[in-house]
Amino acid sequence: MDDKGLIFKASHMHKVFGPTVALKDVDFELHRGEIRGLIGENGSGKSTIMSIASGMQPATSGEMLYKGKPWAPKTMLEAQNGGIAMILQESNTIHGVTVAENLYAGREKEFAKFGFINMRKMYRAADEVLKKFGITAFKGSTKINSLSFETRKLIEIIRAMEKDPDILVVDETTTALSFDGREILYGIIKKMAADNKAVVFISHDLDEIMDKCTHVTVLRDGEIIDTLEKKDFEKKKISSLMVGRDIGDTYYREDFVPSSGEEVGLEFKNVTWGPIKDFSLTVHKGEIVGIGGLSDCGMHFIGQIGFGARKVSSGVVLRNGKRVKSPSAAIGLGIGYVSKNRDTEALVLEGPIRENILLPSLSRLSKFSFINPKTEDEIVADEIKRYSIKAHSPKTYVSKLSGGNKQKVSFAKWTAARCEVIIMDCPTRGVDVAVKQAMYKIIDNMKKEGKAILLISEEMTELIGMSDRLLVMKDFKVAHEFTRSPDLKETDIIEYML
Amino acid sequence: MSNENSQNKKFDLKELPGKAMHKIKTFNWKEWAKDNIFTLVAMGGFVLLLIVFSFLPQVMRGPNVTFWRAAVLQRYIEQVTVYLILALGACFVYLMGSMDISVGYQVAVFATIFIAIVNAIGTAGAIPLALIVIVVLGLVCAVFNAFVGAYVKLPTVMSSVILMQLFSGLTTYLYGDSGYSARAIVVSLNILNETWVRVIVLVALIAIAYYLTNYTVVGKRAKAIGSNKLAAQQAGADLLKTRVLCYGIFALFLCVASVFAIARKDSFGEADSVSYQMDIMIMLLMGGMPLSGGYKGRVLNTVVGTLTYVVLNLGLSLCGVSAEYVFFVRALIFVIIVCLTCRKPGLLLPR
Repeated sequence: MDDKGLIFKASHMHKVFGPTVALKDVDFELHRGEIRGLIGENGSGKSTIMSIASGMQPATSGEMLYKGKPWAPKTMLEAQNGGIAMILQESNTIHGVTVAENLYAGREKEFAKFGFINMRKMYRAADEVLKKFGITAFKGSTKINSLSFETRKLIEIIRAMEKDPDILVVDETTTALSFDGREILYGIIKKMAADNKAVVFISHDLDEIMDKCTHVTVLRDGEIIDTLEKKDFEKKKISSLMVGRDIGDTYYREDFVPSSGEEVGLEFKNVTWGPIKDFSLTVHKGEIVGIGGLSDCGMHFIGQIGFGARKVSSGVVLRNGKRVKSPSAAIGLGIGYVSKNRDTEALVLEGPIRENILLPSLSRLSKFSFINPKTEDEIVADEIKRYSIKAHSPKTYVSKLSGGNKQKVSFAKWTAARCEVIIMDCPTRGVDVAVKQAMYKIIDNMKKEGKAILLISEEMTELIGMSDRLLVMKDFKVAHEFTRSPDLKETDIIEYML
Repeated sequence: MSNENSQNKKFDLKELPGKAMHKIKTFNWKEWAKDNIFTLVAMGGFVLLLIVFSFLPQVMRGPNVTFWRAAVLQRYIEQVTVYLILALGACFVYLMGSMDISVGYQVAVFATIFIAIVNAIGTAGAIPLALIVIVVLGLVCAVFNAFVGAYVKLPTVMSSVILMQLFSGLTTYLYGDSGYSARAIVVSLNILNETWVRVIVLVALIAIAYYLTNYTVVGKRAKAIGSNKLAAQQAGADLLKTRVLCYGIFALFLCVASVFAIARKDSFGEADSVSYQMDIMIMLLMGGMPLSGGYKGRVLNTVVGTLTYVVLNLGLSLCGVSAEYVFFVRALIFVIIVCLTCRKPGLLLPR
């Protein structure tokens, strides 16, 4: 490709976080019309490159050129005004205000006269923008708190597109979007490439990257390993480039025979909560029950109800004949819960890895109100080893970890607590292929150990690959139940989802 | 060696039987210093003030006025005692990201009730009874604070505002009608004024607070709640129970502090403790305790903050700085701390 199409270039980019080297002398080029996939293991540096380009943080050394001129944005706003917009992995909307106020945050002056903001004008402008993106379900005047996590993510995308950027960076966003939201995002990406602009698409989903991108750059340990064009895309090749070794063919469970123990691990008996009416489900020991559907089908609520985090208006959730009334009661009964909202619910980000892992086990470890630090250290060391958590010390704060390592910590909490029932809500969200493979192995081992597992996921392949029984939910009801089979296809499930 | 293997090796404690995590070779001083920057700065500040007040009073008021005299050091420990006991108790509340601004008025009411009971009976045998009464009263306040925070969904500072109003009214009632601004106790508590008693009590209470915050469920959960309430709850922390326990511990420390406050003059005056709540907040901030609570808060912050605050007060007074100027200096220091610590999220002050 000739240099005329070059829109962004980073030379000798180096970034260190304390003793951690995130990027090592990286050279990166992006051309107009490209949809560039960035893929690599957790902590490989793929988000770091683009976060520097979009003004989130400065590089330790190195140079950047954007449209042929030196580029060193100090803030995200500066980068966005210059034409590089980034949509982040985690939620980034302002609570308690309207959709319009979120869309025009920092630009209120455009709607102001004599110091007063004309809200009607702002709402009208927002309505027009929403219409342009094919959104009619809510308006500019809608309060952001009334919208789901997935819809709020969509608003972030629209906010980024409002400034008509030349480079759009999408960082691990699709997992946070609803089915419709993803389609809108894919549409935006295609249009940008067609308009001779560029898109950088950071994702762990190899299928998605291969399907949507024109090029893919693979990173490992802060270095660029290779860049491939679409014609050279091959799943196995990209995976081994990422991991540095052949990860083999086994990914999900190898058996296709549904199996479970006799004893009941967790039971939902005619449970009613909000829009969910009369829901019943039995998860046996040694069984993986999957629940799939669109993100707003109610499946995430099932997980929270099973953990006692939502109080049912009628019916009961039972474990060993005892009612699950609250999260602390659930933990006491040996139930663990990996929340979908990792940073807000599953982890204490401003806390050490050690304390996060131990938090659900405190009551169990306490003897005459004393918790022996040596026992704690041993448990933490075992978990760090089990999940290969990449950190300098168990005292490292979780906020300093990459997305996948954070997820490993939220998993480790429940294995440390020796839970017999584990409810997992999107357990491999934001986790790379090698870690995913390891986690599926762990889930399979849990099953073999006789643990009852409720796997709630938006990834159909994951549900098909892991579940003994698979429930598909639509409009807060179970639309269909599948049994494990080698013939089960994604299209079978989608038929009942939509 | 593959990446995965190298990570495993790093954390395989089985190669280091019996050794604690912090002894692993991966310990990094720079990283540690960065994580503990506020505590280190606070300790530096304390040492600096000690050095400054070692010679400044001599320069300003003559060679005989110095910090390093037995009488001055005794006064230092006397002033530290009540403050440190209160601050150690308050530490549990601040760790949860909560705040209590009724401390001074609670001390006033507890001390007055204690004196009233002892005086009514008139013998030393009344002391345990008086102590039990104020402890029960303190625990009732603790439960009130915890319930308001957990059920009414008000910030806990609001419940302490209610208590402050209530206890302020009670103080006025108790002192206003009698016509006296202070009440003397008929049974002497002089033993509590012995420096060695004070030191032993302080060391014991520091040890208890350290133990409770680091090695018990309540201390660990308090920090988790301060860092992320929702995640702590989902990991089994019962918000109400933890709050009741933390406020309860605070109440016990408060009762002990009230008795030491009476012992200082064998009496207690209406205005003796009114500034305590703000003093405690400044002390904790000076020690590097984050007001948002969480894992960055430690007992060490509380101790360093209190020692520094009292050095500053005593040092300024030794230099002959009048009381109103002491307030100005304190305000100035407070402004400096605020400017240094609330510029970035995640630092001491919540934004």
